[in-house]
Amino acid sequence: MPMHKTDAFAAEIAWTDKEQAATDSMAEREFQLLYDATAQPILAYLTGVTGRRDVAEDVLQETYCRFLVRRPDAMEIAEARRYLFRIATNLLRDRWRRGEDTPAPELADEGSSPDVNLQIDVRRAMQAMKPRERELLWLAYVEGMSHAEIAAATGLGAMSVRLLLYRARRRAAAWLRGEGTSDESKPM
Amino acid sequence: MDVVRALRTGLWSAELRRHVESCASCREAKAVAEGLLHYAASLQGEQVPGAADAIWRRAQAERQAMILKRATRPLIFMRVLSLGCVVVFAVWLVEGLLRFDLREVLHGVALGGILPGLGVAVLGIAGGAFYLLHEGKRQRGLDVAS
Repeated sequence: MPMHKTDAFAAEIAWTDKEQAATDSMAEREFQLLYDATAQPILAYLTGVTGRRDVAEDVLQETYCRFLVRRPDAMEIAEARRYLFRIATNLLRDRWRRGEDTPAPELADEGSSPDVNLQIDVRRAMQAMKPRERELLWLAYVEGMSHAEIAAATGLGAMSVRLLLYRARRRAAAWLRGEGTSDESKPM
Repeated sequence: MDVVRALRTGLWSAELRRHVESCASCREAKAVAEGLLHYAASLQGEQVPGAADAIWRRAQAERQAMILKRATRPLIFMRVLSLGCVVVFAVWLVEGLLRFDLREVLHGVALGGILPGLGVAVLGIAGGAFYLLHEGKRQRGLDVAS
């Protein structure tokens, strides 16, 4: 069969790829390390913010794919982790803008121990928050990010982060004290 | 932030403890952070992320597709440009032939040389156009099949 021009290009690319196979194999090992170190907290973030495991798993895959396709220059794990949170946050925002997700937190493992009750309270509080508030609360209190880091991950200004986080914390605290109102419970 | 750091690390200084007891805002932050950290710990215990190699392979495939698309972009441009040239040349040729005074040629000596030349040019244009279009179609067919 005669070789077409596009086939010739593909063959050339394949040859270049073979040349880079050793580098890729090293990169795959590095990726595995990065994934092991970051996937769990990012998945928890996505589940906590969306309230949906299926969506969280989809977005997690998409997050890492985007990261690999862009293949940024060598990064420290901490820097890569912030970058991954940023990609994940952007993907979540895209989904919300398209109206693809309606948060539906899963209330599982119900029981009567104080820990389980606290978890249920937190899930309810998160359900009552706006998506942006959930992101801010999670990044600040679970990931321990500074205002500047949250600003970088969410695309907000540092001052806006400070103000929005303060409001979100007040609302969450009110919900945890059982003082949440139905007006506040509408997620936007 | 000190409260969050202390909660995350478990390292509470006596001073920070005293401050949190007396500061309503920090107490509030502590309550929220404690709740969220419990919730996060429970989620991390319940869920296991998918395999990394599947994501790696998917990303590699996407990257390859992107590289191939970039590499074939000049080729596609040249193909479109070639087709454009063929069309322009064909129009120019047809227009020229329509204005051609055949009697003038019949009295001259050039007819024997011109007609085979024109024939070769027309065949060349038709063949080239057919090849370009045919390969484009074939490539699209392969893409659909794959």
